[in-house]
Amino acid sequence: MKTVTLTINGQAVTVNEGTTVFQAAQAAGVFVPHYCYHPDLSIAGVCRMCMVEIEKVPRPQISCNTVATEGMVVRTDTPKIKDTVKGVLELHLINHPLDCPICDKAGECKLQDFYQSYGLYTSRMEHEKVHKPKVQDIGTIVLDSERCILCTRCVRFTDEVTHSNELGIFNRGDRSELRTYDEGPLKNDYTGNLADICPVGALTAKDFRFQQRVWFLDKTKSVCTMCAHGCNTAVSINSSTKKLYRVEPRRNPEVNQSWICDTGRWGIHSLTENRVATPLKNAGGFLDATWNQAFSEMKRAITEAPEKTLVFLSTAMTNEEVVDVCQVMFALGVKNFSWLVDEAVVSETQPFDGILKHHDLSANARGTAEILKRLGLTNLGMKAGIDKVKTQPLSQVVAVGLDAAQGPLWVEVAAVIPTTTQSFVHATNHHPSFEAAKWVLPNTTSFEKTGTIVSALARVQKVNRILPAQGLARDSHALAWGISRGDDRSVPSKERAKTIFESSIQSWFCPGEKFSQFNEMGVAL
Amino acid sequence: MSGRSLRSRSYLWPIFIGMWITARHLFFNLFHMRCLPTIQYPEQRRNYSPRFRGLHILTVKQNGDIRCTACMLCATACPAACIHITADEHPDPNVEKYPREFNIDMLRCVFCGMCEEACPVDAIRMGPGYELAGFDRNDFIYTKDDLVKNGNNTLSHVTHH
Amino acid sequence: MKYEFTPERMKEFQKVKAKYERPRSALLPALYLAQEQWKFLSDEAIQYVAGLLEMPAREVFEAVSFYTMFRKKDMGKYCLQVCNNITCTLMGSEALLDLLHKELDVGLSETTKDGMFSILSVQCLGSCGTAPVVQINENYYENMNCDRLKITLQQLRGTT
Repeated sequence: MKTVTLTINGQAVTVNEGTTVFQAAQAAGVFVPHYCYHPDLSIAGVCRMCMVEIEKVPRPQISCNTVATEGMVVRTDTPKIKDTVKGVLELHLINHPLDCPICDKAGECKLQDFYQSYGLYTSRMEHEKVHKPKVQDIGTIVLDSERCILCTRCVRFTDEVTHSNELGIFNRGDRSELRTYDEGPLKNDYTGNLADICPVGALTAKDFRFQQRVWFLDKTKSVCTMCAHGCNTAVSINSSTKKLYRVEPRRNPEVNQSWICDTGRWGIHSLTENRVATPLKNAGGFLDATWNQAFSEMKRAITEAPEKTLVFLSTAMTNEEVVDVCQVMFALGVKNFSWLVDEAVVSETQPFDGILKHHDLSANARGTAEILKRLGLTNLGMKAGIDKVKTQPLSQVVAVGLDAAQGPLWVEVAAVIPTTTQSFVHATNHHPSFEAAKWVLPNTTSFEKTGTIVSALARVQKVNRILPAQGLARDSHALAWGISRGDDRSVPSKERAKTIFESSIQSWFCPGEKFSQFNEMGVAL
Repeated sequence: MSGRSLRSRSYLWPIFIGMWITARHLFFNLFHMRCLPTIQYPEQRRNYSPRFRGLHILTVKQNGDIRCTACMLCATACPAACIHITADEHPDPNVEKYPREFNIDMLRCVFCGMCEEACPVDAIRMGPGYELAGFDRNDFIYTKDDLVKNGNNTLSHVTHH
Repeated sequence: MKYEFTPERMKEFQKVKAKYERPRSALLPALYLAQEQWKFLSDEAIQYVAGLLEMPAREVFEAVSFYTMFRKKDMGKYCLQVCNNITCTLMGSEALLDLLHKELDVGLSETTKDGMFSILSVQCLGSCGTAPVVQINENYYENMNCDRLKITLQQLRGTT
């Protein structure tokens, strides 16, 4: 690939041919203020903030749409450019309402940030500002047309990413108004991203509206586990109250660009809604019990008849959890293993909507299958597994590591379990199909555990713990530990996960990666 | 005993001197009451400067709505972390945001005035009140209604555009 | 009523479309034809044009809303456009507007109930030498005054 070398602020930088001056500046580590540029959208050149001075060119040029050429000398720090940027910012702010106290974007607003860095002028606006409709409910997003600076990021998003063409800028001049074309709610599955890409508070998420000020939140990097794609996320919590407020996408060009679907973004509610809070024993109705009782019963039942035990491994578990459970069960003599997943869709490697979504709602089907192979265990598969439950007289069936999406899969198994077989179900959220189970045990969600998963794109990524376990929930590491010992002495799951990672997963899937400093972008299998 | 005088040996003389000093103060004060620094509180009260930082007041607008927009700047500025606000949607889209709850834990408050300085809309002020005795710790969490009442619905007369 | 160009207009459209590399470049001519046929650009008209040009309807409407001369709603049989720029104002266009408001009992950008007239206040019509000017549909009515305007209205009503 041909390259060009140009000088930005005295620093020489070499880039591929065809790169814009803006991208070259990024590569050189020089920050150029901008609103309408977005790495995952087409170039618009409407905001005029990225002005730079190019030698031998009389007027300042926008760097986002100027192709870098050999020998170009670019400056972003001359007095003329500083004045230009200040002037452009002033123009953007002329009709901008004084909404900072009531705007959710405060603290992460590009107008605020750039005003502090490039503005700091005295306003000359003495007239009545132009008024436009405020607080318009367009489904999952709240639109405030007055705050819009007409960068067209959202218009390009609904055009190029979701192809739904719902947003547009109508009329002209200072009457220009951002609106949905049909004045109705947004109908695509990626509306949350609009609130992310909007540099100001014109498009804000209804879910997060007025919940918290962003400067009280801390972000933790993790991965979404609501489907097999494994979009990279940054989860915001208030560390003092330990409350989870929102999930945002993290940019990963190989996996999810800068996007995440609405299901993954707002799936945090399954963290608290309808959770299994304590171990429940079914004795004519579900009664609260203790983990001690659960573990001793499970250990006894399995050691009495390991050949009459079938373990269903949920594909929502991390790699380390799968290894842990399999090793413990195998050591107790269990030979019947099956994964619990929707087999009709598990082999989908590409998103079915062409963007991000997969039909497989579990995060680690590939990892689970691969691990069973590596451990030399036969994966019976759902069909054979369910057949075995139906026909062979089993003593118990153990379902480990279910999350909210696997509940519906248990319906098939529950339908054929004979009354002589008892079932132990380890799940995060309640599901009607658990009603005949002997024991329902609380599991932790992916926000409450650390471990690696393998996505449908054959990528190993790390899920990081964000919150402590809710209620008495224990993850599958603790479950495996408890079953092997028969009692309730707690185990530090992160250390257990690290040990297992270093002893097996690392060499199998991602040699060279360290558990604590795992590559934030994930690694290919 | 060594050569000490009868006066220094007897304890009655120092006692007499002490009482004489006390009596002197007593009679002086009896006839020169205006020089006393002590005032008869609660019948008499001191006047403090208008900048005195006392009990908080939440101001209201001309139409009776609370002026606060729940921007959380006071809660952020507070060094004692004693302000807790829950924001909510206001039915008027021109107002948009208001505090559903606005609690100040008076036992944590250090009366520094940072909240008054931080507020962009003159919604919270430190008023002249300083009397906040109570019998129960829970009574010291002042709610929105308490704080508005503190100011007897103080109208903020600052005009905005 | 099925939204479709008449055969003549379709031929006209195809001729224009053939001039350009991409169909979307024929947007404005297509919109002119649509406004000619349907007098104003309703949602159905916009969807139809969008289909012809392989563009999203949103983008077509962005262009329609940009230009004031694209009518977005029914402007009646006669659209009375009174110039409001400096020469016409100096020569008395405000009185003309007042007269129209009184006679027709409608506000600016509104259509009378019988669908005959609508009033618009527009920018300079480029005929300052004959101010004040009123444009009715495509025709200039120059050197207007209140009396002449009254007579014009009567004439227009009479020709229904």
